[in-house]
Amino acid sequence: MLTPLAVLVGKALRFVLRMRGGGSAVPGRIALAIEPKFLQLTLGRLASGIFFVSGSNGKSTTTAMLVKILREHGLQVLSNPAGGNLPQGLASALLADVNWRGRLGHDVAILEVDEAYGRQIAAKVAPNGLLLTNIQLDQLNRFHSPEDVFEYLDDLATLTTDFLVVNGSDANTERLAKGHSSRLATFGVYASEAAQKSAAHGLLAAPSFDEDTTNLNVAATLLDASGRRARVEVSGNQIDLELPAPGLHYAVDAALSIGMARQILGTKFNEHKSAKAVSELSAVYGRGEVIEYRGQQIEIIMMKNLPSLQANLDALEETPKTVWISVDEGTPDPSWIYDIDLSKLSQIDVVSGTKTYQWATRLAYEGLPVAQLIPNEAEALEKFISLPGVRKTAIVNYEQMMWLRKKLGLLDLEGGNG
Amino acid sequence: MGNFVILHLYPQTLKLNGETGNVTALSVRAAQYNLACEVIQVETQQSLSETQPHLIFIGSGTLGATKAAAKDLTSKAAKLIEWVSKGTKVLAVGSGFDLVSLGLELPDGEFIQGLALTDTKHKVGSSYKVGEVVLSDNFAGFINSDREIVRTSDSKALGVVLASDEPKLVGYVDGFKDGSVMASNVQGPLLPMNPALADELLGWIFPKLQKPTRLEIFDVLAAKARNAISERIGY
Repeated sequence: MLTPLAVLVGKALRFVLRMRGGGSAVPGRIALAIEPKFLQLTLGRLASGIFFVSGSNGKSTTTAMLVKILREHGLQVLSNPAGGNLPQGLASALLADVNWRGRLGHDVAILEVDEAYGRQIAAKVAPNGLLLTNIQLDQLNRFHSPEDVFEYLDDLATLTTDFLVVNGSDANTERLAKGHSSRLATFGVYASEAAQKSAAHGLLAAPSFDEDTTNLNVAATLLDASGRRARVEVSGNQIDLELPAPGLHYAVDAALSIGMARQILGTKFNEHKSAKAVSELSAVYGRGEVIEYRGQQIEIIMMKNLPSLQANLDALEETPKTVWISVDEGTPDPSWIYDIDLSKLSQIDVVSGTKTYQWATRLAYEGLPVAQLIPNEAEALEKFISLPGVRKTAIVNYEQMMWLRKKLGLLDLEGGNG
Repeated sequence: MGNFVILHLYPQTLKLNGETGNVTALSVRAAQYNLACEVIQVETQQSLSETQPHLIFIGSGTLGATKAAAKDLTSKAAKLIEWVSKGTKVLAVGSGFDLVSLGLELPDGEFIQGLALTDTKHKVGSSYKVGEVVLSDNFAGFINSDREIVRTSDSKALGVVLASDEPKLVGYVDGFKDGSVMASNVQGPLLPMNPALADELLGWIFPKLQKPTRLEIFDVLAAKARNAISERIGY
């Protein structure tokens, strides 16, 4: 009975905060405080089911691809924008779409969920299907070990009711799925050896010491990847794709989304519609995104963790000419930068943020020339923009990416249906 | 012994959070000292070379990785211990510290035997302690560890945490140092961030080294990185 009140208060708060350009998770938090069953009462009524996407990296891009594919097939799809994958962020996203009674007008929900919080959401609304992108080294200050992430995702799989689709070329997600094969239908999306070799450091999966070499049932196979092109085999047919940004990791995301779509849609799956959907997708928020600003094109390379930064560096087709690195306390411990292969970079123009000198020390040991160290990121941005050239590269952590987008006048907010 | 030879044990298995930076720092600094440096990498199921190294480095890994390394280490232990008895020095970080200790007790009661190069006995604790730490003006970094370490005395500790943004870490007694083995749970790039430790380690191996001024560029940047940590945690 409290849902209308939660909706009205949440919607009002969301409207006010969006006018001010901030606070996207707050309305969801308030709605959940008013109606703790807000997620169950809204999502639980969708006719074609609820499907979760989780894993260390690639969640946002894979979710965006999957949503686009399903919409291309005519489904009304509810999704949470990239980053709105915690309970409060998800509730905020739902507030944009529910009517005053808490009803949604969608057929199906495709939800990106955080590795740790996903099981909390699943405990309230169990997903019919779960897609796991990978388990990689990520946020060690929070997760401590990829083995802990395995346990979180294993719990999430336990709460799933019908099927799992996982990255079969990631030994950890493949092993996880095998552990549920007696209860759930389990499928793997595999990358061929040739595709894996298309990136200097391959798939960058976390180490696994599993000696079981059997494969899962194959949902899709990434046959080839090169720059922005990928070829995927599904249901015996080959699909050629144009990716939103170059890189093996985006090709794997595309194969995962196609494999998952095949399981959701069943016989209604159409490979041409799927190829069209993926090929028309723009880069997702800060993932291979290029921002236009004062006649300059600024490519954002997000420094989320070692595998994502390495994958993005591997995908660079040429050495970037003008480079800015900016990292703040959103990355409490950037120790992993010593494990990054920086050979794609020839020089750094500006380093900023609270981790300026940790990065500078790393770059000195790499022998990479650094023009300027400017800890204040606003001053660093001014310097970066004033440098000659129109094509520039910003290597930033998530928080600096959000700050940068705001400074460059992009006020849409991740997690806010922007 | 000719060149400065580093044996990097399990570089892929034990590669959790920037530990490779320690080998990088030693190699780069050795070059500045006019020492030709050779790094020999040996993974699990690979054999040790016949060349006695000046230094053995072991990094950190997940519990699964640590178990895999420990299993492999049983076939290499005798040779490694012999080398250390003949003057080879050891640097161990994170779970590498576990592997050179008396051993590591796991939550299920299993005990992983170490090389017994330290007098410390380790146990996987019930919770992690995570935060930036300052141990002295020349020693700072980040700890992310659930290990409980039992030691006969604190006299061979590498340092004691003086300040941290995690209150539970203040007073934490870290690591081990006895002139033969240097070990720490200040994870990742221990030496790049703390070049005094790198030079102390090199001094154990090459006692007559004179520090060249061209190392200042690295040391000034590392000092500023440590100062930034000190400022953040109010030390």
